[in-house]
Amino acid sequence: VTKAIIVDDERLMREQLRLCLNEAWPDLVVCGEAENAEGALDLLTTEQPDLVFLDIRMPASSGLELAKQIGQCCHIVFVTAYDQYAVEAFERGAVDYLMKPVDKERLTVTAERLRARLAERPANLDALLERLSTTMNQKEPQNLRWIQASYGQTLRMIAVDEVIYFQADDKYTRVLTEQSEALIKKPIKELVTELDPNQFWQIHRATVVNVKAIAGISRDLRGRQHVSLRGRGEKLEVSRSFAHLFRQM
Amino acid sequence: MKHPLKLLGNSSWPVVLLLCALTAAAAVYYTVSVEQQEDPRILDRQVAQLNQRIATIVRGIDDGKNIVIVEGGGLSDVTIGRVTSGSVKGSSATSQAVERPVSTNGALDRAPSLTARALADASQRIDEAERKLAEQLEQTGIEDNNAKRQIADARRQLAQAQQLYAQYTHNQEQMTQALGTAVEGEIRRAVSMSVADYRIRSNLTFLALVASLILAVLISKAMLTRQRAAETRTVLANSEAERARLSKEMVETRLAMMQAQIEPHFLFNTMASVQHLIEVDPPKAAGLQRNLIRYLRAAVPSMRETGTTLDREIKLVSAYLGICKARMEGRLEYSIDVSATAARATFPTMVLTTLVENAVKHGLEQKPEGGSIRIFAEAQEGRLRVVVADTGIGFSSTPGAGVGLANIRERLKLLYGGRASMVIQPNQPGTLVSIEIPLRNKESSTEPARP
Repeated sequence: VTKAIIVDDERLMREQLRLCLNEAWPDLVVCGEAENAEGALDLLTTEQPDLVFLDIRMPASSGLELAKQIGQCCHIVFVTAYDQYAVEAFERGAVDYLMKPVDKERLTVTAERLRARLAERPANLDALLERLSTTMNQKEPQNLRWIQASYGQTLRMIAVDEVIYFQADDKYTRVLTEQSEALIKKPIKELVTELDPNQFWQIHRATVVNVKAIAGISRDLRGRQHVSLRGRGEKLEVSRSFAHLFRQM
Repeated sequence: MKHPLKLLGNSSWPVVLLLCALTAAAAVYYTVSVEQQEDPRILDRQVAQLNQRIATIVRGIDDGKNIVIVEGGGLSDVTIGRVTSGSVKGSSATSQAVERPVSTNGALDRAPSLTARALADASQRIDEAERKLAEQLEQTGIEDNNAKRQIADARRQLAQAQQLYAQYTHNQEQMTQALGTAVEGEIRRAVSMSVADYRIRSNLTFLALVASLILAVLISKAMLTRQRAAETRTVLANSEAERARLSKEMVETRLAMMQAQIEPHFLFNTMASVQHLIEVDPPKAAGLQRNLIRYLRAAVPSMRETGTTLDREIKLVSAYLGICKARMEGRLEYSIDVSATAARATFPTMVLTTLVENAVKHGLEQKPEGGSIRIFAEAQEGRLRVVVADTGIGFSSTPGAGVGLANIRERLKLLYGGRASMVIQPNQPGTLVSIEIPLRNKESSTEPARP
């Protein structure tokens, strides 16, 4: 008997897949359903299924991560509503996948293919998953996007895009936007490593400025450069060690 | 043309100011110091000191010895003469006034005190001789005419010597007095001359300072004018650029809004739910489909209007939340609380939808146990405040959520300038986003939403 589990965070989706499987693959036993990765892993150990129908998008840990954990324990059939990158990757890697809403005819074809393949050892998906997670993560840069700052008693989230510049202030860092000024506990040295270096330039030991907010550079009699800002009146000094950023082209 | 001032650069005016300040300080310092030097009390003191020195000189002259005194004074160097035999030679200034022949006996001149004693001695001896002569006359009765003549001669000679001595003494006194007067006069003259000279010199310096100050002020004024002109140009150019940037952004955000299509993932997932419900629960399927149609109608770009009422946006959002609720079931709870005034107010399109979509997608869908969304709107003191709060996983851990919010921020800025605000706060758990815009009512707000 072939055993399968369904992993999807939406109950309706699980139900629909089960009904479809009943018709397209009557002798398949759906021995369990899980709505998250945790439940799925429990079912995997207790039920030892041959097949996992796995939704790619799930809360907390994604389907891709769960697939990595499952490894070659059993065959995996990915289920997705619409994930362009994933579908392309599945096609290239000849991996089994289903599209939501699940189509009965297509499910029948997949069921036949799977039946033929069950005897084989489950394919090694590591390379594919690696590729997939990098392409999907590429859309989301790892740089800091939000800053949680305190304004007096209240906490606020400030988008880093909104920040005009950061200024070191003792152990703290001042965050200056067009209309407001806040203090965060993170020292500027640490902050610099987390910001997108293309968007934020360090122009002074104590100053990091948003490139988009730079309106112009001026030079005084002593040859020191000052950055004028869009949206704020003050000028920021550029120290000599960072002057190369503004060398004329 | 390269203006010489241009070489100094744009930000040179602090230097000019510094220059002016320095000049002014120097002028003040000079004025004060000149006043100090001109203080009559100081002059008096110096003259008194000189007088004391002259007194010393005079005392030296009194002793009748040859004296050479060189005095260094505060205002002028005064060399006071040398008393020689019969004359006083001094510095060129004093000599004319003081030099005067004094004829004295060489012996007297060499040793005046000895001479005085010799004169007294001589007089005593003459007296003694006379007394002896008188005794001899008494005892012998012989009158020694020769001796008498000799004594008379001696007396005459002594009288002559005494006269000479008196003359010498008198001359010396006169000379001392004349010297004193001359030296004092000379010193006074020198002092007053040097003070006058000093006055002229310091006046010249002061004038030069004032002139340079005026020049510095003029230069700085010229530079300031130039700089102001340059700044005005920069400001103009900047505002021009800003305007261009704003209009470009306006187009871009509008485009972004137009392109913000319904996410395919959402659409297909919903369709899958509808398909399944048609089989197992047709009435529920119909409800879900109705919501989907309502949502699509508003979300399809060509059907959007630029300005709409909060009421319409709320309807769109409740359709969306209805769909989400059907799919997520118990994992999603939501409440909408909008006052009647707030409902009639105008509100930019797709702003609320973006916030609610964010709350579902990045807040609740990521949380296995789900959570709730609360939408709240009120109108107060000419402001419309709309709050979307969720109890999802919170903001910092959801990458990718920033794009929609950045779009909203840009649009609010373009539509309302600085009069709109968007504040994002942690909701413990979850996120709370509140938007405040000026309260405006749409005339057509009473009209029902487009069917």
